[in-house]
Amino acid sequence: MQRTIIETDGLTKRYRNGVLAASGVSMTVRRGEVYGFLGPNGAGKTTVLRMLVGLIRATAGSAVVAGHPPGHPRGLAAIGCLVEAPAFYPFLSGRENLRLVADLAGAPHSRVDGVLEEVDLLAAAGRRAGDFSTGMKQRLGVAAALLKEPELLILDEPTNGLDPQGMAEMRRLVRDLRSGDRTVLLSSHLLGEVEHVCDRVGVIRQGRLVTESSVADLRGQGAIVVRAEPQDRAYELLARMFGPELVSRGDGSLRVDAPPARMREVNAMLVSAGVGVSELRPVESSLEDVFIQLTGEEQGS
Amino acid sequence: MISSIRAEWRKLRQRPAFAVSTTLLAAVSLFAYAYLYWRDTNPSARNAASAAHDLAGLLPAQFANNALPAAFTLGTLVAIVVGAIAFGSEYGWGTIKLLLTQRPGRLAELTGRVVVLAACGAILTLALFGASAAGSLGAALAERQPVAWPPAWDVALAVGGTWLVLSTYALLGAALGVALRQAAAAVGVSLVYVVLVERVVVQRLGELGWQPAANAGKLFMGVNADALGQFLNTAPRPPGALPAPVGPGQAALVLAAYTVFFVIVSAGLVWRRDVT
Repeated sequence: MQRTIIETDGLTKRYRNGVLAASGVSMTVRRGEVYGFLGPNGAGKTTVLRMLVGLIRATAGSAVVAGHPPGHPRGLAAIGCLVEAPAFYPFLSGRENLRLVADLAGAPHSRVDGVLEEVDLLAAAGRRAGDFSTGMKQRLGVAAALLKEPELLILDEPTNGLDPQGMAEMRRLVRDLRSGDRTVLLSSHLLGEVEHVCDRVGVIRQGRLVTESSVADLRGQGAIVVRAEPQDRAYELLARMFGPELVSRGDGSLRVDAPPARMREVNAMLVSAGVGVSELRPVESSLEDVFIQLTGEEQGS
Repeated sequence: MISSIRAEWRKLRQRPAFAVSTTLLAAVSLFAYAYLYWRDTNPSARNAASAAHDLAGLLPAQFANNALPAAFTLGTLVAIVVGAIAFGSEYGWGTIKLLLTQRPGRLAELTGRVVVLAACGAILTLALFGASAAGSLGAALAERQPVAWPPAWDVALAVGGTWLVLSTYALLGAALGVALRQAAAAVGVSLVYVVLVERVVVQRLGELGWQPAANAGKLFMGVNADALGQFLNTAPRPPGALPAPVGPGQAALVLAAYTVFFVIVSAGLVWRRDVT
Protein backbone atom coordinates (compact mmCIF):
# COMPACT_ATOMS: atom_id res chain seq x y z
CA MET A 1 0.00 0.00 0.00
CA GLN A 2 1.32 3.47 -0.88
CA ARG A 3 2.32 5.77 1.97
CA THR A 4 0.64 8.76 0.36
CA ILE A 5 -3.07 8.96 -0.31
CA ILE A 6 -3.01 12.29 -2.14
CA GLU A 7 -0.19 13.44 -4.33
CA THR A 8 -0.48 16.40 -6.63
CA ASP A 9 2.07 17.76 -9.04
CA GLY A 10 1.73 21.30 -10.30
CA LEU A 11 -2.05 21.28 -10.07
CA THR A 12 -3.33 24.37 -11.80
CA LYS A 13 -6.79 25.67 -12.51
CA ARG A 14 -7.61 28.67 -14.62
CA TYR A 15 -11.32 29.29 -14.99
CA ARG A 16 -12.85 30.36 -18.27
CA ASN A 17 -13.16 33.92 -17.01
CA GLY A 18 -9.38 34.00 -16.76
CA VAL A 19 -9.18 33.74 -12.98
CA LEU A 20 -6.20 31.65 -11.89
CA ALA A 21 -7.64 29.91 -8.84
CA ALA A 22 -4.82 27.43 -8.26
CA SER A 23 -1.30 27.59 -9.58
CA GLY A 24 1.24 24.79 -9.51
CA VAL A 25 -0.01 23.20 -6.30
CA SER A 26 2.16 20.22 -5.37
CA MET A 27 1.04 18.67 -2.11
CA THR A 28 1.35 15.33 -0.40
CA VAL A 29 -1.06 13.88 2.12
CA ARG A 30 0.15 10.76 3.93
CA ARG A 31 -2.07 7.88 4.88
CA GLY A 32 -3.46 8.07 8.39
CA GLU A 33 -2.72 11.71 9.05
CA VAL A 34 -4.99 14.69 9.59
CA TYR A 35 -3.88 17.27 7.08
CA GLY A 36 -4.97 20.86 7.48
CA PHE A 37 -5.38 22.85 4.33
CA LEU A 38 -5.11 26.45 5.36
CA GLY A 39 -5.62 29.67 3.54
CA PRO A 40 -7.59 32.86 3.68
CA ASN A 41 -10.98 33.05 2.00
CA GLY A 42 -10.55 33.01 -1.76
CA ALA A 43 -7.03 31.55 -1.57
CA GLY A 44 -7.97 28.56 -3.73
CA LYS A 45 -8.63 25.87 -1.12
CA THR A 46 -12.02 24.85 -2.45
CA THR A 47 -10.75 24.89 -6.04
CA VAL A 48 -8.02 22.40 -5.12
CA LEU A 49 -10.48 20.20 -3.24
CA ARG A 50 -12.91 20.28 -6.19
CA MET A 51 -10.08 19.09 -8.42
CA LEU A 52 -9.17 16.31 -6.00
CA VAL A 53 -12.71 14.87 -6.03
CA GLY A 54 -13.12 15.35 -9.78
CA LEU A 55 -15.77 18.05 -9.73
CA ILE A 56 -13.57 20.28 -11.83
CA ARG A 57 -10.71 19.39 -14.13
CA ALA A 58 -7.22 20.76 -13.74
CA THR A 59 -5.95 23.05 -16.48
CA ALA A 60 -2.45 21.69 -15.90
CA GLY A 61 -0.65 19.34 -13.56
CA SER A 62 -1.76 16.00 -12.23
CA ALA A 63 -3.06 14.35 -9.10
CA VAL A 64 -3.42 10.86 -7.72
CA VAL A 65 -6.09 10.48 -5.07
CA ALA A 66 -6.59 7.14 -3.31
CA GLY A 67 -4.52 5.51 -6.05
CA HIS A 68 -6.49 6.87 -8.98
CA PRO A 69 -6.90 10.02 -11.02
CA PRO A 70 -9.46 12.44 -9.54
CA GLY A 71 -13.08 11.48 -10.30
CA HIS A 72 -12.26 7.85 -11.07
CA PRO A 73 -15.05 5.62 -9.70
CA ARG A 74 -12.56 3.41 -7.81
CA GLY A 75 -10.95 6.42 -6.25
CA LEU A 76 -14.32 7.94 -5.37
CA ALA A 77 -15.29 4.69 -3.66
CA ALA A 78 -12.54 5.35 -1.11
CA ILE A 79 -13.31 9.04 -0.56
CA GLY A 80 -15.96 10.61 1.63
CA CYS A 81 -16.22 14.33 1.09
CA LEU A 82 -18.03 17.43 2.10
CA VAL A 83 -16.96 20.11 -0.35
CA GLU A 84 -18.50 23.54 0.19
CA ALA A 85 -22.00 23.75 1.62
CA PRO A 86 -23.71 20.40 2.05
CA ALA A 87 -26.52 19.88 -0.47
CA PHE A 88 -29.41 17.51 0.02
CA TYR A 89 -32.84 16.85 -1.44
CA PRO A 90 -35.14 19.06 0.61
CA PHE A 91 -38.19 16.87 0.06
CA LEU A 92 -36.48 13.77 1.46
CA SER A 93 -35.89 13.13 5.15
CA GLY A 94 -32.35 13.13 6.50
CA ARG A 95 -32.45 9.35 6.64
CA GLU A 96 -33.80 8.98 3.08
CA ASN A 97 -31.10 11.33 1.80
CA LEU A 98 -28.48 9.07 3.36
CA ARG A 99 -30.15 5.95 1.95
CA LEU A 100 -29.92 7.56 -1.48
CA VAL A 101 -26.24 8.30 -0.92
CA ALA A 102 -25.77 4.72 0.30
CA ASP A 103 -27.38 3.45 -2.92
CA LEU A 104 -24.95 5.49 -4.99
CA ALA A 105 -21.94 4.69 -2.87
CA GLY A 106 -22.65 0.98 -2.66
CA ALA A 107 -22.80 1.21 1.13
CA PRO A 108 -25.21 -0.99 3.09
CA HIS A 109 -28.34 0.75 4.38
CA SER A 110 -27.59 -0.72 7.77
CA ARG A 111 -24.84 1.90 8.15
CA VAL A 112 -27.24 4.82 7.79
CA ASP A 113 -28.47 4.93 11.37
CA GLY A 114 -24.95 4.33 12.64
CA VAL A 115 -23.53 7.42 10.94
CA LEU A 116 -26.59 9.43 11.93
CA GLU A 117 -25.86 8.51 15.53
CA GLU A 118 -22.19 9.36 15.04
CA VAL A 119 -23.11 12.93 14.10
CA ASP A 120 -25.88 13.09 16.70
CA LEU A 121 -28.72 13.37 14.19
CA LEU A 122 -30.54 10.12 14.80
CA ALA A 123 -33.44 11.76 16.63
CA ALA A 124 -34.06 14.20 13.77
CA ALA A 125 -33.44 11.71 10.95
CA GLY A 126 -37.12 11.45 10.01
CA ARG A 127 -37.49 15.18 9.41
CA ARG A 128 -37.30 16.68 5.94
CA ALA A 129 -33.77 17.83 5.16
CA GLY A 130 -35.26 21.10 3.89
CA ASP A 131 -36.29 21.87 7.47
CA PHE A 132 -32.82 21.25 8.91
CA SER A 133 -30.81 24.11 10.40
CA THR A 134 -27.43 24.99 8.91
CA GLY A 135 -25.65 23.06 11.65
CA MET A 136 -27.81 19.99 11.12
CA LYS A 137 -27.14 20.12 7.38
CA GLN A 138 -23.40 20.31 8.04
CA ARG A 139 -23.62 17.29 10.31
CA LEU A 140 -25.73 15.44 7.75
CA GLY A 141 -23.02 16.28 5.21
CA VAL A 142 -20.40 14.71 7.44
CA ALA A 143 -22.66 11.67 7.95
CA ALA A 144 -22.99 11.30 4.16
CA ALA A 145 -19.22 11.51 3.82
CA LEU A 146 -18.79 8.77 6.43
CA LEU A 147 -21.24 6.32 4.86
CA LYS A 148 -18.63 4.63 2.70
CA GLU A 149 -16.30 4.13 5.66
CA PRO A 150 -13.83 6.09 3.54
CA GLU A 151 -10.07 5.75 3.63
CA LEU A 152 -9.91 9.47 2.90
CA LEU A 153 -12.26 12.04 4.35
CA ILE A 154 -12.22 15.50 2.77
CA LEU A 155 -13.94 18.22 4.77
CA ASP A 156 -14.09 21.71 3.34
CA GLU A 157 -14.69 24.39 5.97
CA PRO A 158 -16.98 22.12 8.04
CA THR A 159 -17.68 24.84 10.60
CA ASN A 160 -18.85 27.40 8.04
CA GLY A 161 -22.10 29.05 9.01
CA LEU A 162 -22.24 27.41 12.42
CA ASP A 163 -22.89 29.21 15.69
CA PRO A 164 -20.24 28.89 18.44
CA GLN A 165 -21.93 25.83 19.92
CA GLY A 166 -22.18 24.21 16.50
CA MET A 167 -18.53 24.98 15.82
CA ALA A 168 -17.51 23.37 19.09
CA GLU A 169 -19.58 20.27 18.24
CA MET A 170 -18.05 20.09 14.79
CA ARG A 171 -14.52 20.36 16.20
CA ARG A 172 -15.27 17.52 18.59
CA LEU A 173 -16.62 15.50 15.70
CA VAL A 174 -13.54 16.12 13.56
CA ARG A 175 -11.31 15.08 16.47
CA ASP A 176 -13.31 11.86 16.79
CA LEU A 177 -13.00 11.19 13.06
CA ARG A 178 -9.24 10.85 13.15
CA SER A 179 -9.49 7.44 14.73
CA GLY A 180 -7.95 4.40 13.06
CA ASP A 181 -6.15 4.55 9.73
CA ARG A 182 -8.45 7.12 8.25
CA THR A 183 -6.85 10.10 6.55
CA VAL A 184 -8.60 13.42 7.01
CA LEU A 185 -8.02 16.43 4.80
CA LEU A 186 -9.50 19.40 6.59
CA SER A 187 -9.71 22.70 4.82
CA SER A 188 -10.23 25.79 6.92
CA HIS A 189 -9.33 29.39 7.46
CA LEU A 190 -9.94 28.99 11.21
CA LEU A 191 -6.61 28.18 12.78
CA GLY A 192 -7.94 27.05 16.14
CA GLU A 193 -9.88 24.41 14.24
CA VAL A 194 -6.72 23.12 12.59
CA GLU A 195 -4.07 23.63 15.25
CA HIS A 196 -5.43 21.07 17.68
CA VAL A 197 -6.42 18.31 15.30
CA CYS A 198 -3.94 18.33 12.42
CA ASP A 199 -0.61 16.55 12.10
CA ARG A 200 0.54 18.49 9.08
CA VAL A 201 -0.67 21.54 7.24
CA GLY A 202 -0.39 23.05 3.82
CA VAL A 203 -0.84 26.79 3.52
CA ILE A 204 -2.21 28.20 0.30
CA ARG A 205 -2.17 31.81 -0.70
CA GLN A 206 -3.44 33.31 -3.95
CA GLY A 207 -3.64 29.85 -5.46
CA ARG A 208 -0.09 28.84 -4.55
CA LEU A 209 0.99 26.41 -1.86
CA VAL A 210 3.39 28.53 0.18
CA THR A 211 4.39 25.89 2.69
CA GLU A 212 3.71 22.29 3.68
CA SER A 213 4.97 21.09 7.01
CA SER A 214 4.07 19.48 10.32
CA VAL A 215 2.20 21.74 12.72
CA ALA A 216 5.04 21.42 15.23
CA ASP A 217 7.70 22.40 12.70
CA LEU A 218 5.63 25.26 11.43
CA ARG A 219 5.11 26.69 14.89
CA GLY A 220 8.60 25.94 16.15
CA GLN A 221 10.78 26.96 13.25
CA GLY A 222 11.02 30.43 14.71
CA ALA A 223 13.73 30.63 17.37
CA ILE A 224 15.64 29.32 20.38
CA VAL A 225 15.64 31.08 23.76
CA VAL A 226 18.87 30.83 25.77
CA ARG A 227 19.33 31.86 29.41
CA ALA A 228 23.01 31.58 30.28
CA GLU A 229 25.72 33.12 32.51
CA PRO A 230 27.76 35.08 31.76
CA GLN A 231 25.29 36.47 29.25
CA ASP A 232 27.80 38.66 27.37
CA ARG A 233 30.06 35.67 26.73
CA ALA A 234 27.08 33.62 25.58
CA TYR A 235 26.01 36.42 23.23
CA GLU A 236 29.49 36.59 21.77
CA LEU A 237 29.62 32.83 21.13
CA LEU A 238 26.15 32.67 19.63
CA ALA A 239 26.79 35.69 17.40
CA ARG A 240 29.91 33.97 16.16
CA MET A 241 27.98 30.74 15.53
CA PHE A 242 24.87 32.17 13.81
CA GLY A 243 25.79 35.73 12.91
CA PRO A 244 24.96 38.77 15.03
CA GLU A 245 21.86 39.59 13.01
CA LEU A 246 20.18 36.40 14.27
CA VAL A 247 20.90 36.92 17.98
CA SER A 248 19.09 39.45 20.15
CA ARG A 249 18.92 40.30 23.83
CA GLY A 250 15.77 40.65 25.86
CA ASP A 251 14.33 40.15 29.33
CA GLY A 252 17.44 38.49 30.80
CA SER A 253 17.73 35.99 27.99
CA LEU A 254 18.99 35.70 24.45
CA ARG A 255 16.91 34.87 21.40
CA VAL A 256 18.48 33.08 18.47
CA ASP A 257 16.49 32.99 15.22
CA ALA A 258 17.49 29.45 14.34
CA PRO A 259 15.65 26.16 14.04
CA PRO A 260 15.01 24.41 17.39
CA ALA A 261 16.67 21.35 15.86
CA ARG A 262 19.99 23.11 16.56
CA MET A 263 19.39 23.40 20.34
CA ARG A 264 21.59 20.41 21.14
CA GLU A 265 24.45 21.91 19.15
CA VAL A 266 23.98 25.28 20.91
CA ASN A 267 24.03 23.65 24.32
CA ALA A 268 27.20 21.65 23.58
CA MET A 269 28.98 24.71 22.25
CA LEU A 270 28.08 26.91 25.25
CA VAL A 271 28.91 24.24 27.83
CA SER A 272 32.26 23.42 26.21
CA ALA A 273 33.10 27.14 26.36
CA GLY A 274 32.41 27.15 30.10
CA VAL A 275 29.10 29.05 29.91
CA GLY A 276 26.43 27.91 32.36
CA VAL A 277 23.16 27.22 30.58
CA SER A 278 20.09 27.51 32.83
CA GLU A 279 17.41 27.51 30.13
CA LEU A 280 17.29 26.40 26.54
CA ARG A 281 13.94 26.14 24.81
CA PRO A 282 12.33 26.59 21.40
CA VAL A 283 10.12 29.60 20.82
CA GLU A 284 6.90 28.23 19.35
CA SER A 285 5.08 30.76 17.31
CA SER A 286 1.34 30.29 17.34
CA LEU A 287 -0.05 28.93 14.11
CA GLU A 288 -1.80 32.23 13.73
CA ASP A 289 1.56 34.10 13.77
CA VAL A 290 2.91 31.78 11.12
CA PHE A 291 -0.26 32.02 9.09
CA ILE A 292 -0.17 35.81 9.12
CA GLN A 293 3.52 35.75 8.23
CA LEU A 294 2.91 33.36 5.32
CA THR A 295 -0.27 34.79 3.94
CA GLY A 296 -0.27 38.36 5.12
CA GLU A 297 -3.82 37.82 6.38
CA GLU A 298 -5.42 38.20 9.77
CA GLN A 299 -7.28 35.10 10.90
CA GLY A 300 -10.82 34.91 9.65
CA SER A 301 -10.35 37.70 7.15
CA MET B 1 -25.25 1.88 -13.03
CA ILE B 2 -27.70 -0.27 -11.09
CA SER B 3 -26.80 1.67 -7.96
CA SER B 4 -27.53 4.97 -9.60
CA ILE B 5 -30.84 3.67 -11.01
CA ARG B 6 -31.80 2.57 -7.49
CA ALA B 7 -30.88 5.95 -6.05
CA GLU B 8 -32.74 7.83 -8.78
CA TRP B 9 -35.80 5.70 -8.31
CA ARG B 10 -35.75 6.39 -4.56
CA LYS B 11 -35.66 10.08 -5.34
CA LEU B 12 -38.28 10.03 -8.09
CA ARG B 13 -40.90 8.11 -6.20
CA GLN B 14 -40.78 10.64 -3.37
CA ARG B 15 -40.49 13.74 -5.51
CA PRO B 16 -43.63 15.83 -5.02
CA ALA B 17 -43.40 17.33 -8.53
CA PHE B 18 -43.66 13.88 -10.07
CA ALA B 19 -46.56 12.78 -7.87
CA VAL B 20 -48.40 16.02 -8.64
CA SER B 21 -47.75 15.70 -12.39
CA THR B 22 -48.96 12.12 -12.55
CA THR B 23 -52.02 12.88 -10.47
CA LEU B 24 -52.74 15.97 -12.57
CA LEU B 25 -52.65 14.00 -15.81
CA ALA B 26 -54.93 11.29 -14.44
CA ALA B 27 -57.29 13.82 -12.85
CA VAL B 28 -57.60 15.89 -16.03
CA SER B 29 -58.33 12.75 -18.00
CA LEU B 30 -61.03 11.66 -15.56
CA PHE B 31 -62.46 15.16 -15.43
CA ALA B 32 -62.69 15.22 -19.23
CA TYR B 33 -64.62 11.94 -19.13
CA ALA B 34 -66.93 13.27 -16.41
CA TYR B 35 -67.56 16.49 -18.30
CA LEU B 36 -68.16 14.79 -21.67
CA TYR B 37 -70.44 12.24 -20.04
CA TRP B 38 -72.44 15.01 -18.39
CA ARG B 39 -72.63 16.91 -21.67
CA ASP B 40 -73.70 13.89 -23.71
CA THR B 41 -76.30 12.78 -21.18
CA ASN B 42 -77.87 16.24 -21.04
CA PRO B 43 -79.05 16.62 -24.62
CA SER B 44 -80.86 19.88 -23.90
CA ALA B 45 -77.64 21.64 -24.78
CA ARG B 46 -76.97 19.57 -27.89
CA ASN B 47 -78.47 17.73 -30.78
CA ALA B 48 -79.67 14.39 -29.36
CA ALA B 49 -78.29 12.35 -32.29
CA SER B 50 -74.87 13.94 -31.97
CA ALA B 51 -74.92 13.39 -28.20
CA ALA B 52 -75.66 9.69 -28.61
CA HIS B 53 -72.82 9.38 -31.12
CA ASP B 54 -70.41 11.16 -28.82
CA LEU B 55 -71.52 9.04 -25.88
CA ALA B 56 -70.50 5.94 -27.83
CA GLY B 57 -67.07 7.48 -28.12
CA LEU B 58 -66.71 7.44 -24.34
CA LEU B 59 -67.11 3.67 -24.06
CA PRO B 60 -64.16 1.31 -23.38
CA ALA B 61 -63.67 0.46 -27.06
CA GLN B 62 -62.40 4.01 -27.54
CA PHE B 63 -60.42 4.48 -24.33
CA ALA B 64 -56.98 4.36 -25.98
CA ASN B 65 -58.06 6.79 -28.69
CA ASN B 66 -59.40 9.12 -26.00
CA ALA B 67 -56.13 9.02 -24.05
CA LEU B 68 -54.04 10.07 -27.05
CA PRO B 69 -55.10 13.73 -27.40
CA ALA B 70 -54.38 14.38 -23.71
CA ALA B 71 -51.07 12.56 -24.00
CA PHE B 72 -49.92 14.54 -27.02
CA THR B 73 -50.92 17.93 -25.61
CA LEU B 74 -50.97 18.14 -21.82
CA GLY B 75 -48.86 14.99 -21.48
CA THR B 76 -45.95 16.38 -23.48
CA LEU B 77 -45.97 19.62 -21.51
CA VAL B 78 -46.01 17.74 -18.20
CA ALA B 79 -43.20 15.50 -19.45
CA ILE B 80 -41.07 18.57 -20.26
CA VAL B 81 -41.66 19.96 -16.77
CA VAL B 82 -40.81 16.63 -15.11
CA GLY B 83 -37.60 16.26 -17.17
CA ALA B 84 -36.49 19.82 -16.52
CA ILE B 85 -37.15 19.54 -12.79
CA ALA B 86 -35.50 16.12 -12.50
CA PHE B 87 -32.27 17.26 -14.14
CA GLY B 88 -32.21 21.03 -13.61
CA SER B 89 -32.96 21.02 -9.88
CA GLU B 90 -29.76 19.03 -9.23
CA TYR B 91 -27.88 22.18 -10.15
CA GLY B 92 -30.26 24.54 -8.33
CA TRP B 93 -29.95 22.58 -5.08
CA GLY B 94 -26.28 21.79 -5.60
CA THR B 95 -27.04 18.08 -5.23
CA ILE B 96 -25.16 17.38 -8.46
CA LYS B 97 -22.00 17.55 -6.32
CA LEU B 98 -23.43 14.95 -3.98
CA LEU B 99 -24.20 12.67 -6.95
CA LEU B 100 -20.86 13.08 -8.71
CA THR B 101 -18.69 12.51 -5.66
CA GLN B 102 -20.12 9.09 -4.87
CA ARG B 103 -19.01 5.85 -6.40
CA PRO B 104 -20.51 5.84 -9.91
CA GLY B 105 -18.70 7.85 -12.53
CA ARG B 106 -20.34 10.77 -14.27
CA LEU B 107 -21.75 8.80 -17.19
CA ALA B 108 -23.01 5.90 -15.06
CA GLU B 109 -24.76 8.39 -12.83
CA LEU B 110 -26.32 10.13 -15.84
CA THR B 111 -27.39 6.81 -17.32
CA GLY B 112 -29.25 6.06 -14.10
CA ARG B 113 -31.06 9.36 -14.33
CA VAL B 114 -31.98 8.80 -18.00
CA VAL B 115 -33.30 5.29 -17.32
CA VAL B 116 -35.44 6.51 -14.45
CA LEU B 117 -36.70 9.44 -16.52
CA ALA B 118 -37.75 6.96 -19.21
CA ALA B 119 -39.52 4.97 -16.50
CA CYS B 120 -41.15 8.19 -15.45
CA GLY B 121 -42.43 8.61 -19.03
CA ALA B 122 -43.86 5.11 -18.80
CA ILE B 123 -45.61 5.90 -15.53
CA LEU B 124 -47.12 9.09 -16.95
CA THR B 125 -48.30 7.08 -19.97
CA LEU B 126 -49.86 4.40 -17.81
CA ALA B 127 -51.51 7.02 -15.62
CA LEU B 128 -53.12 8.57 -18.69
CA PHE B 129 -54.28 5.32 -20.20
CA GLY B 130 -55.33 3.97 -16.80
CA ALA B 131 -57.42 7.05 -16.08
CA SER B 132 -58.92 6.87 -19.57
CA ALA B 133 -59.74 3.19 -19.10
CA ALA B 134 -61.33 3.92 -15.72
CA GLY B 135 -63.35 6.79 -17.17
CA SER B 136 -64.58 4.70 -20.08
CA LEU B 137 -65.48 1.84 -17.77
CA GLY B 138 -67.43 4.27 -15.58
CA ALA B 139 -69.30 5.55 -18.64
CA ALA B 140 -70.12 1.98 -19.75
CA LEU B 141 -71.35 1.00 -16.31
CA ALA B 142 -73.41 4.16 -15.95
CA GLU B 143 -75.01 3.56 -19.36
CA ARG B 144 -75.37 -0.19 -18.75
CA GLN B 145 -73.44 -0.86 -21.95
CA PRO B 146 -71.38 -4.00 -22.54
CA VAL B 147 -67.73 -3.52 -21.69
CA ALA B 148 -65.76 -4.17 -24.87
CA TRP B 149 -62.08 -3.21 -24.84
CA PRO B 150 -60.13 -2.37 -27.99
CA PRO B 151 -57.73 -4.97 -29.46
CA ALA B 152 -54.69 -5.46 -27.20
CA TRP B 153 -52.29 -4.78 -30.08
CA ASP B 154 -53.86 -1.37 -30.73
CA VAL B 155 -53.60 -0.53 -27.04
CA ALA B 156 -49.99 -1.72 -26.91
CA LEU B 157 -49.09 0.40 -29.94
CA ALA B 158 -50.81 3.46 -28.46
CA VAL B 159 -49.10 2.98 -25.09
CA GLY B 160 -45.68 2.38 -26.70
CA GLY B 161 -46.02 5.36 -29.02
CA THR B 162 -47.14 7.62 -26.20
CA TRP B 163 -44.23 6.45 -24.05
CA LEU B 164 -41.82 7.32 -26.85
CA VAL B 165 -43.32 10.77 -27.27
CA LEU B 166 -43.43 11.56 -23.55
CA SER B 167 -39.89 10.28 -23.03
CA THR B 168 -38.65 12.42 -25.92
CA TYR B 169 -40.23 15.55 -24.46
CA ALA B 170 -39.04 14.69 -20.95
CA LEU B 171 -35.50 14.35 -22.29
CA LEU B 172 -35.83 17.72 -24.03
CA GLY B 173 -36.61 19.27 -20.64
CA ALA B 174 -33.79 17.27 -19.06
CA ALA B 175 -31.19 18.32 -21.64
CA LEU B 176 -32.17 21.96 -21.20
CA GLY B 177 -32.09 21.49 -17.42
CA VAL B 178 -28.48 20.32 -17.71
CA ALA B 179 -27.54 22.96 -20.26
CA LEU B 180 -29.05 25.86 -18.31
CA ARG B 181 -28.18 24.37 -14.91
CA GLN B 182 -31.59 25.14 -13.46
CA ALA B 183 -35.15 23.89 -13.71
CA ALA B 184 -37.17 27.10 -14.08
CA ALA B 185 -35.34 28.43 -17.13
CA ALA B 186 -35.36 24.97 -18.70
CA VAL B 187 -39.14 24.70 -18.28
CA GLY B 188 -39.63 28.19 -19.69
CA VAL B 189 -37.35 27.78 -22.69
CA SER B 190 -38.68 24.35 -23.65
CA LEU B 191 -42.31 25.36 -23.32
CA VAL B 192 -41.79 28.50 -25.41
CA TYR B 193 -39.97 26.40 -28.00
CA VAL B 194 -42.57 23.64 -28.18
CA VAL B 195 -45.68 25.77 -27.93
CA LEU B 196 -44.56 28.73 -30.00
CA VAL B 197 -41.23 28.67 -31.81
CA GLU B 198 -41.48 25.23 -33.38
CA ARG B 199 -45.01 25.77 -34.65
CA VAL B 200 -44.16 29.16 -36.15
CA VAL B 201 -40.98 27.86 -37.79
CA VAL B 202 -42.72 24.81 -39.27
CA GLN B 203 -45.56 26.98 -40.53
CA ARG B 204 -43.19 29.46 -42.17
CA LEU B 205 -41.13 26.68 -43.73
CA GLY B 206 -44.33 25.25 -45.24
CA GLU B 207 -45.30 28.66 -46.61
CA LEU B 208 -42.04 29.08 -48.48
CA GLY B 209 -43.23 26.73 -51.23
CA TRP B 210 -39.73 25.27 -51.49
CA GLN B 211 -39.49 21.51 -51.17
CA PRO B 212 -36.21 21.34 -49.17
CA ALA B 213 -37.70 23.77 -46.64
CA ALA B 214 -40.89 21.71 -46.43
CA ASN B 215 -38.81 18.57 -45.93
CA ALA B 216 -36.84 20.28 -43.18
CA GLY B 217 -40.14 21.06 -41.48
CA LYS B 218 -40.82 17.32 -41.32
CA LEU B 219 -37.86 16.83 -39.01
CA PHE B 220 -39.28 18.78 -36.09
CA MET B 221 -40.37 17.00 -32.93
CA GLY B 222 -43.91 18.34 -32.90
CA VAL B 223 -44.60 17.37 -36.51
CA ASN B 224 -43.47 13.80 -35.91
CA ALA B 225 -45.23 13.51 -32.58
CA ASP B 226 -48.49 14.70 -34.16
CA ALA B 227 -48.02 12.29 -37.05
CA LEU B 228 -47.47 9.39 -34.69
CA GLY B 229 -50.55 10.41 -32.72
CA GLN B 230 -52.66 10.41 -35.87
CA PHE B 231 -51.43 6.95 -36.77
CA LEU B 232 -52.08 5.54 -33.31
CA ASN B 233 -55.61 6.90 -33.19
CA THR B 234 -57.82 4.21 -34.74
CA ALA B 235 -61.01 6.31 -34.63
CA PRO B 236 -62.43 7.33 -38.02
CA ARG B 237 -60.82 10.55 -39.15
CA PRO B 238 -63.08 13.61 -39.34
CA PRO B 239 -63.99 14.62 -42.88
CA GLY B 240 -61.57 17.15 -44.37
CA ALA B 241 -58.76 16.31 -41.93
CA LEU B 242 -55.33 16.71 -43.51
CA PRO B 243 -53.16 13.58 -43.71
CA ALA B 244 -50.08 13.40 -41.52
CA PRO B 245 -47.05 14.89 -43.30
CA VAL B 246 -44.87 11.89 -42.40
CA GLY B 247 -45.51 8.17 -42.00
CA PRO B 248 -45.53 6.45 -38.59
CA GLY B 249 -42.21 4.69 -39.20
CA GLN B 250 -40.40 7.92 -39.94
CA ALA B 251 -42.13 9.65 -37.04
CA ALA B 252 -41.00 6.97 -34.58
CA LEU B 253 -37.47 7.01 -35.97
CA VAL B 254 -37.18 10.80 -35.83
CA LEU B 255 -38.46 10.85 -32.25
CA ALA B 256 -36.06 8.07 -31.29
CA ALA B 257 -33.25 10.07 -32.89
CA TYR B 258 -34.26 13.07 -30.80
CA THR B 259 -34.10 10.98 -27.61
CA VAL B 260 -30.59 9.81 -28.54
CA PHE B 261 -29.59 13.37 -29.39
CA PHE B 262 -30.85 14.75 -26.06
CA VAL B 263 -29.07 11.98 -24.16
CA ILE B 264 -25.82 12.66 -26.04
CA VAL B 265 -26.08 16.41 -25.38
CA SER B 266 -26.74 15.81 -21.67
CA ALA B 267 -23.93 13.27 -21.43
CA GLY B 268 -21.49 15.57 -23.20
CA LEU B 269 -22.29 18.42 -20.85
CA VAL B 270 -22.17 16.27 -17.72
CA TRP B 271 -18.94 14.62 -18.80
CA ARG B 272 -17.02 17.71 -19.84
CA ARG B 273 -18.29 20.51 -17.70
CA ASP B 274 -16.80 21.65 -14.41
CA VAL B 275 -19.17 21.50 -11.47
CA THR B 276 -18.56 24.61 -9.37
